[in-house]
Amino acid sequence: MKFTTIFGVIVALIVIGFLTMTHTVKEFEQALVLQFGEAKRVENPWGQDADAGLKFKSPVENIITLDRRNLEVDLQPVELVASDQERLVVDAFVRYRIVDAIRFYEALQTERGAQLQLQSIMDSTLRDVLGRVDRPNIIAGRRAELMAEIQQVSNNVVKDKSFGIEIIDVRIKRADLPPANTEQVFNRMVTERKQIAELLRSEGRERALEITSTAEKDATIIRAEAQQKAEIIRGEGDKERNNVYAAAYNKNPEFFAFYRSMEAYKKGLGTGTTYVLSPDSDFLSYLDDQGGPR
Amino acid sequence: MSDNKSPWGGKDGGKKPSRSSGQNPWGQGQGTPDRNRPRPGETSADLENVIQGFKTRFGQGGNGGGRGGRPGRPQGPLSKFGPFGIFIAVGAGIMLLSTVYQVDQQEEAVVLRFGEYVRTTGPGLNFKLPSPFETTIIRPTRVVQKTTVGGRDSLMLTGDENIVDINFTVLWRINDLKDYVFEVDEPDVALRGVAESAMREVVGRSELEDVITTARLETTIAVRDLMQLTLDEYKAGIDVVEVQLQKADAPEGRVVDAFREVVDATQEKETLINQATAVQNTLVPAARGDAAKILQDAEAYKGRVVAEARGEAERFNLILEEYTAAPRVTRQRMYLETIEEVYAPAEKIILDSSAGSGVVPYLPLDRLGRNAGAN
Repeated sequence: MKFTTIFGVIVALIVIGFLTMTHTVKEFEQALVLQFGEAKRVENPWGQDADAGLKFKSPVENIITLDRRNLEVDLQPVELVASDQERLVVDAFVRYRIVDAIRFYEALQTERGAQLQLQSIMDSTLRDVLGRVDRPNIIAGRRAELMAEIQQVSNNVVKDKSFGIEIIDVRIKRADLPPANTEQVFNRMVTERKQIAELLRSEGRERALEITSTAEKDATIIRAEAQQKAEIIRGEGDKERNNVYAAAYNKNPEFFAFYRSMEAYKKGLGTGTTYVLSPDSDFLSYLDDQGGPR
Repeated sequence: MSDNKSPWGGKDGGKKPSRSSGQNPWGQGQGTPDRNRPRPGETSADLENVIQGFKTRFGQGGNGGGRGGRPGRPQGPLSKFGPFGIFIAVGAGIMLLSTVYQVDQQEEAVVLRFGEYVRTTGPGLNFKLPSPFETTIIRPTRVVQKTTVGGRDSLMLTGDENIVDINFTVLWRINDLKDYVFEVDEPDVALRGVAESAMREVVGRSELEDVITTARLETTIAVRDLMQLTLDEYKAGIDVVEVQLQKADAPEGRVVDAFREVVDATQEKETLINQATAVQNTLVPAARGDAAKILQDAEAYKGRVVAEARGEAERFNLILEEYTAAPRVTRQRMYLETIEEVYAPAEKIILDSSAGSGVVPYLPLDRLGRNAGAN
């Protein structure tokens, strides 16, 4: 019983000693070692080969654990004015990394501190850089280039302030119009579409009219051409008829005149005609005189 | 000052930086101390499973924390070691169990020894040093994961200063577990931000008409490439498989209505043209029909008059033959027949010219027509 107690105490002492003399650093962490608040060294710092694992320290040293990874700060949206006086809401995020743990601890202490500082730095950087460019270029033309420029400018700022961080990347998520302008854009889009719709309709009407009037014209021409051909055909008929008559009647024109006159009398002198006849006429020559005309 | 000295460590859920006097080497938490997010697939969870399995296998109540001996056998063999002995034994048991971990077919595991990366292992049953010394981080690397972007705030500006409403899904895979775990903090969040930024950049240099119609595929490919480039820059260990556009439309409400109106107008235009074509298809054939009729009538006329002429000419020829044979008699006869036919139905007044000499004959012309049924 005594033995076990002693054994237990010894084990406990060993364990406590071990716990105060060692610490672990994970692969994705850097550890800042402080002795009475004074920075001594950094374990597994960024910029050197990974050196994580079990580390020894003196019992009076304190450990501040910092991230070694690529970290994100999601910025508040910034409303700014582009060079063409157009307003724009820009929502971006920053990826940064702690590259100097000691400086970082002096200047910012925690990621929360970094976030607050970066927020204000980025605010002014965004305004600066984007304020020199007009809106179409921010939205479309030079977006990628501008993001690179913002990254450089803000990285220089944090270097100058020696925050012990490096800004890896700044990405604009949204570059949008303020709500009021959005409404205007909607209006324009609607009117544009209505215009297109109207154009389509009138094009339809135009095309339809063109088709129907062409059809009418074609129909008229088809009829007229037929009429023309018909006249020619009739003319041919008449010509042929005249030839036939002429050929026949020319055999004896004098008799034709007589014959044709007789025919004409039959047709032309119908009923309802009153004749005043002289007994001297050819027809009545026998009426007064049986000898007939002398 | 969370001076955590328990050797069988709880999670170091402290806030960063944890100013503990010595980071606890026995800690099993995989430390994202800044955010209290549970990390699935970590040793502790595995350990729970193993313990659970062990307990069910041996029908043993109680928990691994050692609440004393087994309830069924208070005078068990362990009791002679006292509470401390039992504590040691249980601890040893737990350590022994934590030398085994299981990785699913779709997962990979990263093994850390005192936080230092030692190896990556594949699926199956794997062995490691007991928990305080080696811990594992297990993530699915063969599964394609989905991240959906858009929803409540999905309006984007296009290059031609229009606004488009876009929802899209990113399909991605972890292609390097080591990078995924060690290089980027919260890779999933990073992925989402990069996706949104890439999509807006691509849409920002496209035209609305293209994005919502013909260039959907080009858009997704451009976004995928841009995302991959950025994530590779971060060394995120992520492979972007595909970007899918769920929705790319004009904004809801009146704008979409206006767009639909254009579609309707297109239909209307087509309808008008079709109607006109129908008219054309009736008018022209009708005209052709008329034309045919006109021509046929003309042909008929020609046929008729020629035939009539030939008939009359032939008749004349026949009469002429007769006449030539006996001209005087024929002529006389023809004359008389004609006059007979002409005078027969008509009213006649015969005036002798000689009888009327010296007398002016009175001819009441207005009364003449009465007897004759004048026309």
